[in-house]
Amino acid sequence: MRELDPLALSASELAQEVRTGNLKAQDVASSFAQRVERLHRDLNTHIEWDKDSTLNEVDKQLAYIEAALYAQKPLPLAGVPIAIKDNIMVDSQTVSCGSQLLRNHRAAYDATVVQKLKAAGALLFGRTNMDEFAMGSSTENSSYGAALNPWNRRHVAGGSSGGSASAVAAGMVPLALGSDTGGSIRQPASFCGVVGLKPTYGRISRYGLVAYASSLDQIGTFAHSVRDTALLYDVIAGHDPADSTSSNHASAEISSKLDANFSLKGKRLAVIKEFMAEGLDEEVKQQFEQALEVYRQAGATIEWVSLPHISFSIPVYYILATAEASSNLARFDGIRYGARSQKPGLNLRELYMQTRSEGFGREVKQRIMLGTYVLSSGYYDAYYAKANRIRELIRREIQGLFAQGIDLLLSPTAPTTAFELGQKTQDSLAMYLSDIYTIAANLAGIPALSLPIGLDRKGLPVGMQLMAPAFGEEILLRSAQVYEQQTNGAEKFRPRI
Amino acid sequence: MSRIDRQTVEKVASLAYLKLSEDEIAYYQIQLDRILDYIKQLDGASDSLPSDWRADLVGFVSPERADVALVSPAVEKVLSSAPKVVGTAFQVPRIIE
Repeated sequence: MRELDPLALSASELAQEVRTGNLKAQDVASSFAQRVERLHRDLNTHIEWDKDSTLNEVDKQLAYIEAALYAQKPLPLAGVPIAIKDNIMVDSQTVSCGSQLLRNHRAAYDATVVQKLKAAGALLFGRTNMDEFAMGSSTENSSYGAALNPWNRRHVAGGSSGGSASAVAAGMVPLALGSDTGGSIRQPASFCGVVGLKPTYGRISRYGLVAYASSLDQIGTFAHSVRDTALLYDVIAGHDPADSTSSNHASAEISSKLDANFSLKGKRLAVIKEFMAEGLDEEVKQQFEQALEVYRQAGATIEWVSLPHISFSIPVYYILATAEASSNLARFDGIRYGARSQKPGLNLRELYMQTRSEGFGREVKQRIMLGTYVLSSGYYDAYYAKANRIRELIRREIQGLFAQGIDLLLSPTAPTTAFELGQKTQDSLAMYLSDIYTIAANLAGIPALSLPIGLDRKGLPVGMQLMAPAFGEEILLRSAQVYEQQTNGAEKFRPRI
Repeated sequence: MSRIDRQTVEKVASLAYLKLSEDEIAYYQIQLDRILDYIKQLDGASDSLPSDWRADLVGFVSPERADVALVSPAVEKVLSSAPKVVGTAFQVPRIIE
């Protein structure tokens, strides 16, 4: 057997080498486990990492992989380590959502995406750090401390899926799952220099994802390249009867179509004017304009379009998401879910209040209260009903552009590169504004992807966001791959650690 | 003028089953006020939708599944997470006073 270093291979290559027998899945597991062991404390990427118990679980999966390969079952992720965000259920493991309230909560079943990963031969590699209940843009709202950016540890990894982004960027795992309600995959992917995909709403089952804002939440992927993104997406996408919002829109495999002849010649890519205004960092803007030039060279036409209501994305989001959260998080009361307060002598109402007040962190309480306020008697029409109508107008404007023949919408993923730890923790509004370009895709339910396009003068990654029509993941990924191929992008963005 | 006063913070916290410290009340009064002030910009958004438009009537149709009872294998695992169990039931604190 020739010597292969698993850490130097992509997810696609790892699976291929394991399937053909050139690499043992045991060796893959052991190499990556050593790397996680070496780095996870420094970067605080994991909420739960236990090398021995992970490798014990992996042993069980290895027996399955061996049997499945013997039976010639296709295993697209054979022997590929993948980290899971801590709000996705893995049977019998703790699922804390970054919260003290759920510190002892064990999942009683596998999320549909986890079932699919296991069936595809993947090795589950720990649960990653996140803002509490996915509420945040820097992972600083995690009750387990912030995940750090592997490019510069004084800077945030982004959020809320910061642990997953940082772990992939640092080479601890080739793949990770996250969830994205307003940019929680794309913004940390941009900050950490990896590819982050939020698929179409309904494309990936949410069964087993702890709900934050159910009309916006979507599970998605982190990887180093578009190819690996497609590999993981193909495994987890598809209809699931266990999730009533899961779509049965036909899902075609994308991996096999990558690398084939695909030209952007004649494709119409549009830049959203409203996003190129005040608040956009000059260096991010320059890198983005250079990326547009790459697409021009590849034959695409670049147009500038206006979406008049898109500037209302943040107020709409913070009304709808918090309203949904105030309802979804009502179940965490110490009786139905959550670590019950041990304070003696409480009546039922006091027990609920004490449990929630002890267990929830500052930002979660704030969003629950904001949601309660906008839904309260006398304010419902002015806030919730109004926000729903503006959401629909944003959706129609975006859909209108695609109907007119625009193939993709482009923007920077975030207005700045990763900010310093502590810079925005005392100002909720400033933190909210870091999601200004990503929220519209959640409001409209369309797929969107963040792709690394360069580094700023501080050496921090810059990301570009591509948005496609609903169920347009194929053109999204193929177009992103064109950029990668033109710039050798998949290999360029690795922090030196 | 501030739209969020101390009483409003306390009222909303109570509706949300949260008990706040003095520091928290002061903090949330400032933060919620700033956020609601920012959200106020929605008043300036033009709204061309018909007045009887309803979000629940838009496009997306959920596929239905067969009405078949399935067995959940999770009972024991769920019970193992509970602080106290009697048979196959959770034992919770007394709620009738």
